[in-house]
Amino acid sequence: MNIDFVKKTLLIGLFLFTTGHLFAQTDSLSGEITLRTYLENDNIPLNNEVVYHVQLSWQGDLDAYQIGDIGDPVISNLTLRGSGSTNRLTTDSQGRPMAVKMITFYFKPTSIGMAYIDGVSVQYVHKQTSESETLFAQRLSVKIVEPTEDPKDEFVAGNVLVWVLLIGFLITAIYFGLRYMQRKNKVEETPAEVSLEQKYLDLLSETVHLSNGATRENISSMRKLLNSFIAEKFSIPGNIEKNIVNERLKKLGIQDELLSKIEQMYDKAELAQFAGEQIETTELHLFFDSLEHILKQIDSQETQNSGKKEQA
Amino acid sequence: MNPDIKAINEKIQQESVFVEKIMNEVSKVIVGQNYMVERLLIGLLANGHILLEGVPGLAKTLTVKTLSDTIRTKFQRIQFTPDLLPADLIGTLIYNQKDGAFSTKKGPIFANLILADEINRSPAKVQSALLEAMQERQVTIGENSFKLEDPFLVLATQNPIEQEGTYPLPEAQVDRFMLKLSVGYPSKEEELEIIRRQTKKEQATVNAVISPEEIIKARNVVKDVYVDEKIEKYVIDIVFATREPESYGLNELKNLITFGASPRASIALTLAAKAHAFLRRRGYVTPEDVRSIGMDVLRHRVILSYEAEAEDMSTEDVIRKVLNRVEVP
Repeated sequence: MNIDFVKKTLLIGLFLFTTGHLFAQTDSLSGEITLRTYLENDNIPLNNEVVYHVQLSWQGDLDAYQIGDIGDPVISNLTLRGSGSTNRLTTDSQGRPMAVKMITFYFKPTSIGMAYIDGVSVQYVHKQTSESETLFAQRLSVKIVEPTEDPKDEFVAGNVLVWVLLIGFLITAIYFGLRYMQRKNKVEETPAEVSLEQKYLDLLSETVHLSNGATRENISSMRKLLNSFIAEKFSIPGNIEKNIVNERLKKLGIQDELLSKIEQMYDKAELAQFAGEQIETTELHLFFDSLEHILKQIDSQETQNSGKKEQA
Repeated sequence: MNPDIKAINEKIQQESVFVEKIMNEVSKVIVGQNYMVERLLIGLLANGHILLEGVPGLAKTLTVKTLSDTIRTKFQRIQFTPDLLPADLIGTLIYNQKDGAFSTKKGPIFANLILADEINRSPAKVQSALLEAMQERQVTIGENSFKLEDPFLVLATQNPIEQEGTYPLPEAQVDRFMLKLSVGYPSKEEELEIIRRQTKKEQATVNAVISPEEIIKARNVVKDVYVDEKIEKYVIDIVFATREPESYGLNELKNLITFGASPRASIALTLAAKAHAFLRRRGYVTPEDVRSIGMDVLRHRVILSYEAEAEDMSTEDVIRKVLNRVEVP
């Protein structure tokens, strides 16, 4: 056999061995322990991660070898983001026990172009023989390309939209719920509709205090109150006069006796206000009672009339 | 009641007897028009001249003539025409050839009651002569000034239609009239009665029931009628509301009024309200007196803008709003 032929054969064999593992490189010692380094992908967009595995495997138990610290690989155009390791016990194709130790590195590409991970060296000790050996892996290259749209972003955007819609729906539901509650409360709080007569009866008791001695002010208040009542009852705009009040009270069916009391009240109020006349407390009480009686009478008439209308 | 007011009330009861008599006498000739007759009496009692405005045929002249007949006084009717001269009204100096001196010939204005019929038919110089006499209550002829007899009351009429060839009274001169009355049409029933009375063979005659002295006496009582401070403030509020409507919540009138009523309006309103109270046999004025007479006192004193004209708002509409808005005490 020609020595050149042997050299050529060995070189071809070596070439085939190395190129057969484009992005994986395997080294072994005595056929017992194997080191394999590989990339999950050698064409990585700028916005993705480069994942680099260092795998050691051997036949036998996991504790057959003590693996030394690998250390961080030397890298270019990459930044180490993190690493992790796993141990696993499995069987080979012939059913023999096989231990696998996997160390994984995660890198972030720095810029578009080529990135390199220098070969790592793994030192190990055979526990039975206490032999110490070192395995070397080859340098690997990875191509960093234009960043691609991260489907995660779409997912996140979709999620955000869903959340926005959900929150919007919740806010709307809460708003309408609150409004419904408010309306319900309002309806419950709104007192029963008070008649105009009752309103003025309340005003009469609120504004006229017979015991305070201010007879002039009281009689004037009573006069103004009756004027205001008639104006509101008949929707008469502006100031109204005594004769209009009398005429409208007549229309409302007030008896002559009460009408005459009211006329007296107006005269007395005028005298008190514009001619300095004193009003006796008893007179004031009489006018108060008359006014109260008139308002109550009209109120009961109106209630009866509305009752009849409802029945009809 | 306040003792002073009680005394005024008693005086009014005594001095106002003639009111009913006059009303009775006037009603013999005039049907309805109580509003006009009452206002004429207010003018007579408050010593204020009156301008009557109304379409022809509403008995303006007849009412004034009848009222004058009820008073034992000198009445003159002056028909204002375009060719009337001031001398025709107030008088003139006449040269007497016998003694070679000028003697004074007094004009028709020297009377107690003057009916200036269709006052807007005469030119400004005649109107001015009359209005000056109304204000000064004296007339100067040549070098002599003559005091006009009391009572001196001018009742002028004017026609709101047929404005062509007339001389409308300037605002400053209209202001001299205490009241401006707007005389309206009678009702159906009243007009029926008018036909019956006027077509009868016999015409009713009116008796003089009051002397000028009695009127002057009554005027003095009217002056005594008590006006409370609240009423005075109410009068001021009404007049100020025509000048500063926005201060009284009448913003809508701000651009409609060019000139509000003058202080003469406040005086006239108070005096007329006193006379109104007198006619109601009351010794004190109430807001109702002020409101009743307010329209007639203010009608010719509030000058509206072009905006008011464009919005078809009359002076009456504006005053009605004022009277309805200003708070009654």
